Amino acid sequence: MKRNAFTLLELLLANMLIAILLAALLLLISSLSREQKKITAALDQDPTSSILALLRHDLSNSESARALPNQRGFILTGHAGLDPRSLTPTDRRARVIYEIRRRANVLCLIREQSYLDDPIKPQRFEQLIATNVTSLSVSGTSASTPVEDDELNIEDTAAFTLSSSVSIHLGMPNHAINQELFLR
Amino acid sequence: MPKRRGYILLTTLALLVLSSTLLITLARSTIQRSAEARQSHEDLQRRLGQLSCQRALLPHAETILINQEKLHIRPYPTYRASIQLGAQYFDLVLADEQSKANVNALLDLTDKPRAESQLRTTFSNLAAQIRLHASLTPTSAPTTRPILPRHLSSFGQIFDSTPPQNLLTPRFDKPAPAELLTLWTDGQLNIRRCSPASLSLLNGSLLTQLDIRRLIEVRNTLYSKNPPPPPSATPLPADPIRRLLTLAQLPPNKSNLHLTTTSKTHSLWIIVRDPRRQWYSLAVLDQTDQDHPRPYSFVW
Repeated sequence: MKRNAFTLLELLLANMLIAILLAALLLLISSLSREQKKITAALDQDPTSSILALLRHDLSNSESARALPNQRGFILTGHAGLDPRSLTPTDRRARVIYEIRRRANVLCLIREQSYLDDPIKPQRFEQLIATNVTSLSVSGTSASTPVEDDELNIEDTAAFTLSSSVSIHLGMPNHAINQELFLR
Repeated sequence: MPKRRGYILLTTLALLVLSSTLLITLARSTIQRSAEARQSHEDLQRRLGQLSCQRALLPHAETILINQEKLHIRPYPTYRASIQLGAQYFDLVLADEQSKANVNALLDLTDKPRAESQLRTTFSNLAAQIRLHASLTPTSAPTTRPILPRHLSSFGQIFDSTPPQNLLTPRFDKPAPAELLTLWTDGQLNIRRCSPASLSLLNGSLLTQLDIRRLIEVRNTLYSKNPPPPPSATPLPADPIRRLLTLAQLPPNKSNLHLTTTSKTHSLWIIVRDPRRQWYSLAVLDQTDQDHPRPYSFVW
């Protein structure tokens, strides 16, 4: 006997699969905008981009920088003050130290801040920026002039004025980021 | 043996499921990449827009303000403009910093508690705590002018934890802090453009309210096409400040005021708006020493 049609079982299975596919498609369409928001939020929380955003803020608001030896970090002097509680910019005169320090056998990038405009209450605080950072350095790329920095007594390196752009090197075990930041 | 063609349909559907899964994975990765690219594009456009506005406008601020004064026949201390680049709006506020009272000069004239009290009275409507965080070692200043100690060098050292929008927004009849105060000039107030409030803040101990009103009235006549004749037949002094004081009928002992008729320091606020948030930046250019212009930059 010649069969010209599908069996009932085949049709039921096909219908079921079509229904599943349609549901998946609908779910995908409805979740597209949600997915996009999630991805954008995840990008905002991406450790590398958040480190670079913080560095950009601090460098843009600073006047001079002084490198620490062995690409261990640098010291900024300017108006890069952050509120210790809310971490929002206070625009106050502050010294910011970015330094790679070993904590519990892990290399940690620490941001240390103290206000320079209130010697009685400098509100010194430390903030863990990232772990497993092996090197961090900054260098002026154009028209950087050495400056006298009486507020610090570090003999190893000279302070320099932060010009319109700087080069940042951030070393991590698997990769390194070398970026030129345009500040002003 | 009967043909089982139904399995072809099942196989096709299974393949469809597989390809859909692959396409969904690909779509997710594409969305992520496009989100990254869009964010980078917006960041780059914002930063380049800020830098372009800064470099195009700030060095020519004085010319722009003079042109506006010629056009409107009145003092023009602040020029506002808005531009659109892509989906971002740039609000620009170009200002003559020498039309504002310098808080460092105020600190130089009086002591810290009095200066704080004066500022609290002036900005009584501002929802911010006013406390002067003056550095013991002032920041370095250009060397070719009488040095005014720069104990304060940012608004954050005056207004505690105040967001930048509060610095720019006038409240009721009180001016916005950024319209009235500066920290980056040599302390001289440009009488051609200053407001009565800034004149009163800086020279309040030397001038009465009546003196200030007279001085501002005489100043405003400088902009009119037909200035009134001088009150007496005596020749007016060549020095523009002394001439203004004579015209305002102020006694000669008022000549030690912090006044000038030229501006060397200008500022540019740039507020970038996109659908998600606002970015504030302030750039100041001090051209007191023309060979070594001194830029200041603040980003929030």
